[in-house]
Amino acid sequence: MRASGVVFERRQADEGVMKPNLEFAAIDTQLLDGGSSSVDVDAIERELDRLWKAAAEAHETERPHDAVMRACSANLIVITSAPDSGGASTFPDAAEVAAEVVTRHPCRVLVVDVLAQSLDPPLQASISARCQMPEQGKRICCEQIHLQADASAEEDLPGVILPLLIPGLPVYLWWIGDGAFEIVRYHQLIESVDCFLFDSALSDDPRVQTARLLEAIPRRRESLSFRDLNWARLTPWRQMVAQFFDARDALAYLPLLESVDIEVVPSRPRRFHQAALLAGWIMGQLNLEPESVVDTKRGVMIETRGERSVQFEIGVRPGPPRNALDHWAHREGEAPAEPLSVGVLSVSLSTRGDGRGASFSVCGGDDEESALTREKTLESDMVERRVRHRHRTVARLVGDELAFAGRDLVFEKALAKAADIYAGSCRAASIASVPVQQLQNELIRSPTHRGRDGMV
Amino acid sequence: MKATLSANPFREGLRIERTPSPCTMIIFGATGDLTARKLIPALYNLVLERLLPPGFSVVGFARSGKSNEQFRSELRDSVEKYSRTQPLQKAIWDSFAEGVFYHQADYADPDGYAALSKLLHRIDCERGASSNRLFYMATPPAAYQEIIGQLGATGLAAPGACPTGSAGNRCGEWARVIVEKPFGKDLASAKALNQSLLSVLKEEQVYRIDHYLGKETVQNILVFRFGNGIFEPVWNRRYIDHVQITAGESVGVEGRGGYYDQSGALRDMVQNHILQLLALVAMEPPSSMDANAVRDERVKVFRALRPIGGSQSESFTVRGRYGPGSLSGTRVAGYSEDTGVDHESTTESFVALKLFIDNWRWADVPIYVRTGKRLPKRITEISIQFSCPPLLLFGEAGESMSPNTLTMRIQPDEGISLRFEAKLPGQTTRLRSVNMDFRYSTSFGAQPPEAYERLLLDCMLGDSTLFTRGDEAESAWEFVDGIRCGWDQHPPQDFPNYAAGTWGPESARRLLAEDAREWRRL
Repeated sequence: MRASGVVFERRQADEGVMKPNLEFAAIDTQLLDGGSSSVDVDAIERELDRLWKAAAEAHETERPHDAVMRACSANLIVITSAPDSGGASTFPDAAEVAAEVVTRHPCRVLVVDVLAQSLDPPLQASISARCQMPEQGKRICCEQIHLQADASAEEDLPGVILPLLIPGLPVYLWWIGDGAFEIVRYHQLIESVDCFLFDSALSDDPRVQTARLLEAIPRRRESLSFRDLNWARLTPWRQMVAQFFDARDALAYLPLLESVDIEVVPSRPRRFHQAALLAGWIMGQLNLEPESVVDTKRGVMIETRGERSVQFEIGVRPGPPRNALDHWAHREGEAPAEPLSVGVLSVSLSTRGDGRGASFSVCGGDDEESALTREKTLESDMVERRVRHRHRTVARLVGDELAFAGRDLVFEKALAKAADIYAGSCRAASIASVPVQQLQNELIRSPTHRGRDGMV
Repeated sequence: MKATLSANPFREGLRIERTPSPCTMIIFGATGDLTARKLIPALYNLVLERLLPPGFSVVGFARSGKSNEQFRSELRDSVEKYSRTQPLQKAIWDSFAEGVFYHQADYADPDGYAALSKLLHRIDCERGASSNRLFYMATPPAAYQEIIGQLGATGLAAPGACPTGSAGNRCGEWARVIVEKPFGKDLASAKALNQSLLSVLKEEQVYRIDHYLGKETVQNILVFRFGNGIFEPVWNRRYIDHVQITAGESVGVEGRGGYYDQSGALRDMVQNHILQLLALVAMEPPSSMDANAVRDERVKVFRALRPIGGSQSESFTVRGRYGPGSLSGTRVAGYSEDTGVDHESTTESFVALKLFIDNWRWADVPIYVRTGKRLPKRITEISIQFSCPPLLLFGEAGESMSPNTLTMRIQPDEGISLRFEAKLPGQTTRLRSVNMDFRYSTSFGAQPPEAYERLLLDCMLGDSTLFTRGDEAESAWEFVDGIRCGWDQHPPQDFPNYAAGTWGPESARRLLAEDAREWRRL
């Protein structure tokens, strides 16, 4: 175990993205290591104290009138699991995403990297501090503990993590990678977790994951909530759909709904799960029950039960990339655009299919932050509006989830409906599955961590 | 599916700040300081946060002639200068500026309003602004009644208005008017203004703005009191010795002498900001967070304020005016040297009051407030001083005990701290006061929005909780008029009575000293 000087390093924020100035104070290469059961938790805490003292002294020299403030309002455990990665660690990215999260939610961060290759010693730890650097005033710093374990030490992890949690503060566990429900291996840890974050976009098989999640929900502790970042990416879509029906006259059309058309593109099959969640959400909120699910050439067609059946179509269409804002102009007989960063391509809710009824449509834009909405009712001419959304990085998505406590019942309802779609369709089940490694690269290892999830 | 829906089912559980329905904001007095410094930067930041609706448009209404392009360019400059977020993001600004228009007209010219109506209709068609209107009175108060009358005459302010020739366009669902302070200069003028507003509008269309209520920390007062179980049981006369509210400004009248000299600290600060802070600290729990439920409780506090009038003003109030002095090492001039100040005037730049709320919770608990210009620092805080323990157990060590104090810092360095006694480490028992601190800046990384951002958004969403209701404004004026009346009978003889850069006149210290108390050192 070594202690060395504190290095404050200013890093440039991404251009065009609002981020506070970040400074990384690290006791460079400060490493605590041991055998599979011999990482000294007390030593980590002692080293953290030393780190803070050293940081304060370094800062005193640099900016003598401003204090260093250590802040913490939660515990964030980040588990990166890369069993098939041939030993490549996802840690550097996960740690930096977590560092961005703490700028909005000061946390003690524990990054736990479970590696496929063997380590010597099999369990290792290091610590660092991440500071926000305001132009003036106090420097706000959060601490990060990095644990690396190989397979032989994995079962010892809960015993190391639990004593490192700051008591009395909420515990969030963010699982990065496929097999989120492998977390059950850490049942000892799960007992202390308030919120379990995962990303179904990284799942090899969302259908299976959905089923496992639905199985787990009724059995979980009341205080444990499940959050899916893939669902969080749908928030702007849900917002835009909801916005149509804030107006009273538009709301009156909802009971007359006849069809819902959701478009996704086949080159990104994971998006089918997102589309299934979106369809599930609309069904759930309108109390619609799927009666039949039929595979079609485009994708799947779902008919709902009841007197007024609503037809849902989740359509997968190939097509060359093109400006999505031209989508409607090229609609007849042509494939829609495929903005690279957009997941669900469009959603339309219509009361009639013959052009005389009302229709409410959202089409994703091509610049990650824009969309077009179209609204046509009997009372008004076609109204087209361009909508801009905040770009939501992975860090932003996680941060947003940290801002809310408790269960997301709407998500649970949407998930149950998505499971019904999977249950009725062979095609839905097959196209929802996708090799995870490609997605992990896309979502986590993106050099800027912008996550390509602006509108997704 | 039900045959009819009373609420939008897609709003359930949508964990995103709600954006309002499409609308157009019409700013009267669009070339003024308020528009440049506060309104446009606030709108820009709302755009940046993606909180404004699609199709949102702004029409600046003012007398001077300029083109849309000139107006947009001036507004861009003001955002670059005054926005809390920097640097300006060009793409965001450009998309916002596409929806900004300028309309030149005289406030009293009916043709100007007819032309405005046409412009709004065009904007509705081109941008899908849905005929919802937010009118912002950023003019001098003297113009309010004229503008309101004209809006009434042209039907522009009618909720659900369908503009002429609107076939094929959805009629607006709402029209709202934001009225800037000062809302009158006394009870009579406030009543007249209310009457004038309500002859054209319904009360629920009127949003009287007090930007203090939009401050994050002010809103937190209710969360702190009613979102925690441990404070409310001791929030009463049984445990609280007294309350202090301080709103200090280090600036002077800064060239606004002409306006300020007609107003003074009592009207400019106490009638609105200070009394609103007091109401939030003293109010009973509302039955819900519905706007009227909250405002009902605030107005009850004003009605329970023990009137101060006539000769009582000598014992319960202190007024002051600053003379020359020194602030932060710089010599500064006295109040009467500012341009626009009438040398015969007796306008106060400092007020201290001892108030009582005659209700079950607060009977006989003094509430001391002070506010003034050219005080040593800019600071606003509320301090709740609790009663001392009934018995001093620690001998001599206990004699130096300080009472527990809960301080809510409104600005700057927003937060809450609780002072309590602790044992100094050592073999003997010695006590020392320590602070338990909560700081917004350290607990939440995000920069809080400006008050105007929150208030503009609330108005667009139809939430009037943080706006002053008509009866609230009148009750506050009624209380303040009593003090004013007493002062008028006894004009001040000792102005200026405090030096710039000090905490006010000596009589302010005495106001508390007579009760064996003292102001908090800030």
